[in-house]
Amino acid sequence: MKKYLKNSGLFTVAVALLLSMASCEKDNVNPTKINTDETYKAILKDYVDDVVIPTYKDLAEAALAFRNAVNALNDNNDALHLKAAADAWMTARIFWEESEAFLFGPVSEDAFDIDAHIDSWPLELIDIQAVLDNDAAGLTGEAAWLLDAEVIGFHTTEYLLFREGQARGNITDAELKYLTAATDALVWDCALAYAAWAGESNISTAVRNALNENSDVKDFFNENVTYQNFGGNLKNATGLYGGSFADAISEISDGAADIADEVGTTKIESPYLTRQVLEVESWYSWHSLEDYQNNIKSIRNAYFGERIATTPPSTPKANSLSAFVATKNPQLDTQIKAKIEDCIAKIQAIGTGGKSFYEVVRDHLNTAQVEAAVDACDELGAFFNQISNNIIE
Amino acid sequence: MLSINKFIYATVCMMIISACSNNDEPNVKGEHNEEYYAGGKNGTVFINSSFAYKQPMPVIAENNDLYRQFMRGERLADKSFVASEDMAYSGLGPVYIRKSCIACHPSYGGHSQRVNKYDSNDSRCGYLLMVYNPNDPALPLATKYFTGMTQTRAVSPFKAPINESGITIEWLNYVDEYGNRYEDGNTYSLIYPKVSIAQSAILFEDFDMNQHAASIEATIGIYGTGLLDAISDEDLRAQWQEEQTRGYCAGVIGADIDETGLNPYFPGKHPGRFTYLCTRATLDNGPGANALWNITNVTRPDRKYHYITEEYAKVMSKDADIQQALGKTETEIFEWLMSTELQPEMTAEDYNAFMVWHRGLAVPAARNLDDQTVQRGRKLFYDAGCIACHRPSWTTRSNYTPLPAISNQRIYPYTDLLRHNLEMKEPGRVQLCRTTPLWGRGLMKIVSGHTDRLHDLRARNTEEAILWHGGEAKQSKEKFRNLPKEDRDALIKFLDAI
Repeated sequence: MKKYLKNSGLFTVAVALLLSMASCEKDNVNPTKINTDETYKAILKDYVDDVVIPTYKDLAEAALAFRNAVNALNDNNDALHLKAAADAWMTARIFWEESEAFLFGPVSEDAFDIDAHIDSWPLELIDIQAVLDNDAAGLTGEAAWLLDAEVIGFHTTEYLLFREGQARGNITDAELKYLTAATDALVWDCALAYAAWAGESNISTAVRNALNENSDVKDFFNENVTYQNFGGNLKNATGLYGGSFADAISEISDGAADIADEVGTTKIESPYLTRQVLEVESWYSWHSLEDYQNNIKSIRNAYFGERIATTPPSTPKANSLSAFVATKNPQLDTQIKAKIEDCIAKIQAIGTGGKSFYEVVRDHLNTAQVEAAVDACDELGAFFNQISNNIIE
Repeated sequence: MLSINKFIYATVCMMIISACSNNDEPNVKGEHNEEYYAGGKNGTVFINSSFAYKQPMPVIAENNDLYRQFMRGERLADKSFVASEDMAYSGLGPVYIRKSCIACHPSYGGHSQRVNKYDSNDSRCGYLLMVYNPNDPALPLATKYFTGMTQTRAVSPFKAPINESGITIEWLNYVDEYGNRYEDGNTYSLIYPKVSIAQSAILFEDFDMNQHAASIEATIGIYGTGLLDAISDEDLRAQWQEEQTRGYCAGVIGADIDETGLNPYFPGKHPGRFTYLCTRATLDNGPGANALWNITNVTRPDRKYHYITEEYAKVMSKDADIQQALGKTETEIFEWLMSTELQPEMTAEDYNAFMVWHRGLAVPAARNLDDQTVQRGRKLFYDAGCIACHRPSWTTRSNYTPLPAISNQRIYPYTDLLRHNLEMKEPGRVQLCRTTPLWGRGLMKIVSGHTDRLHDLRARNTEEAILWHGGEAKQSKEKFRNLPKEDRDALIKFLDAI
């Protein structure tokens, strides 16, 4: 993430003066701060309850649906059921990409390490192949969940399901056995993310049952108390946040800035400039450009405090970061809302000519569109940094 | 550019708050506004979220080329390397410690966390394993058999020097000479690790674990290391000289290391300043620059050989299973393992980008310095003599050529970069430990979800870390122990603020 300031310091100075003067009041209560905290709390509540938790709920339930499709493929190993499993994989994948504006807390490497565990790229193909050569003997879901991240997760299951942007026509028995085990592991990791954010008692029955299928998974969940019911703590600035609503709410803007910069500079620009096609993620499904757009949609959801299907509302809901920014700096809010749509459009335009991002990188196509998308993401990241630096008090 | 607004804010706050603060507080007017910039004006970012330790310095963020390299470098630190060829980030092994930097440096930040099991596939376990001879006062590593940082993983068909399932970490209770009781009657508890390795877990048949010992070392934060590198040798030697004559806490300076041919910017001899034992002198031949290679065994133009022992190469090359799996003779396998002319697996361009990232990670700004309790804690920290070793500030050299913008920066790392003996119970190999920088540690809880401290993470919070200070630091610890709880809390609040 790129943290720098473009605005003048006048606004901040004015706030500083107000705050500092308030601190000279005889009673120690700072009315400005209390009002701000209440505002932040309301924004955090909608962010957690209306964006983060529903996204992880959908992810976990889509993972369960994907597992049902894999089970059906086990019953009928044919092209039709393989395509259905690939489609179900894609549904879950989209929800994961829509979660990437909040890759802090439970999914991080300090907590349950779910991001690495389900989204590792590159793959350790020689290890995968070694298991397949042995007919995936003994590979249960429980065993798969304990394997290194480079041989499980979305990209391993993608490898088993897709080639060159299409569902494969057939899958061997060993591959299907591997897919079945890796899908179990994926289900449990998605269940962990949902349970950690929402609190185990608040998750849907089907996901709770899945979480309890594997005692290793359940033990892992139970022993990491710090990140249980993380959403509840974030909403109330409790737990790690020690009562600071300003610190808690800056996770929203810093998380958005982080993924905006990662999409632009790391995911798009870096492989394009180095022509490293192997670094393009979603290598087998060729879904990269959609992934990146979904990352920006994740930012949009976070900013609006609600999950937006297609078009954002002209008036954001009252308890959204957008509405708060609008009260402080209406021009910035307008710029952010426009830049989000601009980013999505420009990432989509990278595929001009019906190309996948893999082909764009491989053949070095559409340079102007790539540069425009990178610039747009960079600008979006900078706007969110302005929220952290200038708006949050 | 980054910091102008916050600077103005801090200054204004300082002016106004100091106007209404009590007169009995320490007079720090004029210092605080600068002290917010823990990493200096050009090396500090203002951020309090879980993203606090992964930010580029403003000077990096404002330069497109540097920023592009920084993000590329971050990618290299984040990604797991793999052994599969024709794959991104290829080159792992044949024997290795971890697959990535982030495996031991989660969020690049405070520390990895205290765990009960040495499992390199658990992202929470960032420990390195050391095997050494406890009967020799110099505690030498068993380097005939094991690499200095012990490898516990291998790419098939090669075998790991130590099987991780045979490593045991026990956490034992420790009762200090005061019965774990403060002067005011409040109590505390302390624990320390005991590491053992089963003989059966060791690859080498002629290696006797009974004649050796094992210990664990945790990682520390990566942010700000560029700024520590930018402190001049002259200033470091002057600090050491001063400590030799002052009559207390005489720190030990790292031995001179000849960096000629190893550091493109600063050839010649430099005193060690990095790692717990000050075994690395400069960032460009430092723990990170080396770890990218020796943790993963990914070769590169300046490291065209494996991080490996000859004994391991001998045992592996004689192994019939390995010969068969590779279809190679003993001699071929041995020569490949020990070759000094291997094909680089990482480009110089990528390595350079990694170093831009490593050098350019900003220090998070100090927080709440004008809070009266924090100011009280600051005074207590100074009065207790903690600053004898936790030297508050340095000014970086005037000609730091690798990143000129971080020259001449007043920084607040709170370390003397020298080694001291805290006489901890069973410290393992780290008996004389470099004074750990304290900047940014107050954000550990938000970033990492824990507050584990010290070289083996025996301290579960800042308070326990202070209580483990014996030996040279005992007098300061005594002053802390004798403080009323309110003052102890204030001192800790100060440490959380810097």
